Amino acid sequence: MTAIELAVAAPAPKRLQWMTATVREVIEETSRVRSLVIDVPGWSGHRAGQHVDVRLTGEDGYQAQRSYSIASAPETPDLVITVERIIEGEVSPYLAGEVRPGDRFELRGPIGGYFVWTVPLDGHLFLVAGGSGIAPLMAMLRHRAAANSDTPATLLYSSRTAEDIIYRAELERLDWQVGTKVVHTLTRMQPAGWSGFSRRIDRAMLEATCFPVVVRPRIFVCGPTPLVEVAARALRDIGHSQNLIKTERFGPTGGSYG
Amino acid sequence: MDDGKNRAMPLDGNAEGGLLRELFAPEMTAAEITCDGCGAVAAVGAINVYGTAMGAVFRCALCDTVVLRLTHTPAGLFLDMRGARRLFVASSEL
Amino acid sequence: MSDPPVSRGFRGRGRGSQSARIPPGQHLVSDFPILSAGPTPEPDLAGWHFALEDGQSPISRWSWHEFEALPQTEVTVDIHCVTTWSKLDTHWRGVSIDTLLEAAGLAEPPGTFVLAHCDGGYTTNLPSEDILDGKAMIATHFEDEPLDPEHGGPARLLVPHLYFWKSAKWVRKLQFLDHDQRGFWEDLGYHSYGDPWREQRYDGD
Repeated sequence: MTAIELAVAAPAPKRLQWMTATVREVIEETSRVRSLVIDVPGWSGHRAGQHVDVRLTGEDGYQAQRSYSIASAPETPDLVITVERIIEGEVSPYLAGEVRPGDRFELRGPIGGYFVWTVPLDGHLFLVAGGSGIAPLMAMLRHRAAANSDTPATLLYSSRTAEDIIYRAELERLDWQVGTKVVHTLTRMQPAGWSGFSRRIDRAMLEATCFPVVVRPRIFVCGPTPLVEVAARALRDIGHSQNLIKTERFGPTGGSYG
Repeated sequence: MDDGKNRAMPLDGNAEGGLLRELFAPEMTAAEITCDGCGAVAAVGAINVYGTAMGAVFRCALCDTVVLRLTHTPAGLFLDMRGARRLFVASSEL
Repeated sequence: MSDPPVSRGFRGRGRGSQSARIPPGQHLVSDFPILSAGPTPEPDLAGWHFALEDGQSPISRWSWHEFEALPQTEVTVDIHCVTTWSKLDTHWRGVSIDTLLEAAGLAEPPGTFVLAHCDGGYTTNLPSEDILDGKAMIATHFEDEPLDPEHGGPARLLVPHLYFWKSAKWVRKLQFLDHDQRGFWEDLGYHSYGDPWREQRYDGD
């Protein structure tokens, strides 16, 4: 089977079981965000956009559970999740703080059949991310790259500052590729000489960056709820069909509810 | 068990995909559900879920009718579907 | 099924030894988490009314104006949510159920059980005696401010001795019944009574 066929051949569905995940590597993406490369024996593969549920168990048996988007492409053997450390959170300070290679937790997935993009789906791809909402969209871009797809793709990515841009170097490389465009907006602080957007995502910004309505791009929006709702509404107002707009709201503060 | 989902604002149904997969083998977030309140059809993954830490309450985005209600208690899984008229899962998801 | 792997170094929220005021399995919070089964209704005081019903028969009904004119009660109580958070010394003002029954001309509740009905269709059930004798009120103010819509404003049921899902937000009616009619969560496996001190979270606990 070709890489594309492998990536989209969904395995026979079954009810989810908790599996043991072992952390193999911890990557510091930004001062607040870490990616975890994890080994999950028995992992059946995934489609870009899907997520996993992670469950931690303390010494006393106490358990806490959160969901995290898979950031890696289906084609790569390494499973990666990206976690933003939420100060008042319970799970993220552990996963994006304490955790080291060798640590274990439970994981189940892949989950989600709605917020999914695969290369054989024709059409231009327009992605809108806020903060750690970039994770599932990065899986889509990585899947597209691994499949050598020439589907035109544009990412509009909102971050607080340049230092908060997750996967920054990789996104720069993607931006150089023909057919791929990465547009940043930095909402809180901009570096000297910044000529890009410096405000929250709004209709004007979306009109300037998205493909024309007539092209019928597939649109995925992911991040904190307020950003997602503003963007989705604006895209509908611009004229994009509701059927082509898919959203994944992370909640009021984003970051997978801490 | 606290799953951090105490909040007033809804999420997309996709967020409760894990809970649905405890009961159903196919991805129910890709299923299309018909609201018994207004007849609207939407992907389960797209409708509003009040994913409270008590259970998942899926509400029609148009009329707020509760189309699905799920809890997972020590006794087992409960699913109330009275607000849903019909569910469709494409062959590709089965 | 084998035990789940322990995540080295993971410590859950404040589960250590607690004050005697915190029921088993609960932890103290300083914020006020919001838990909703549906969208926050738009407050509409002009259209708001609160009713008492005996089965299908109306007993009494108050408009917002009429309700505000009733004798008010203030309490400071601890509250405990089944999702494990507890908050101590919360201050509420409203109309006690005892006052409502008296205003309706009833010496005692007309049924042994009660079902609370709320905007958005939420319901919860309780034994009638658990809302009498100062144990419950229809609360309109929290910490001396009008109750925020996200926390149940303009009015919610407050029954602090039971898990907080019984303190139904956006309450509009108390219906007295002769049988215990399961409410929204009780229908789906939650405990019909819900005593936090006996950890009655789920049916069968």
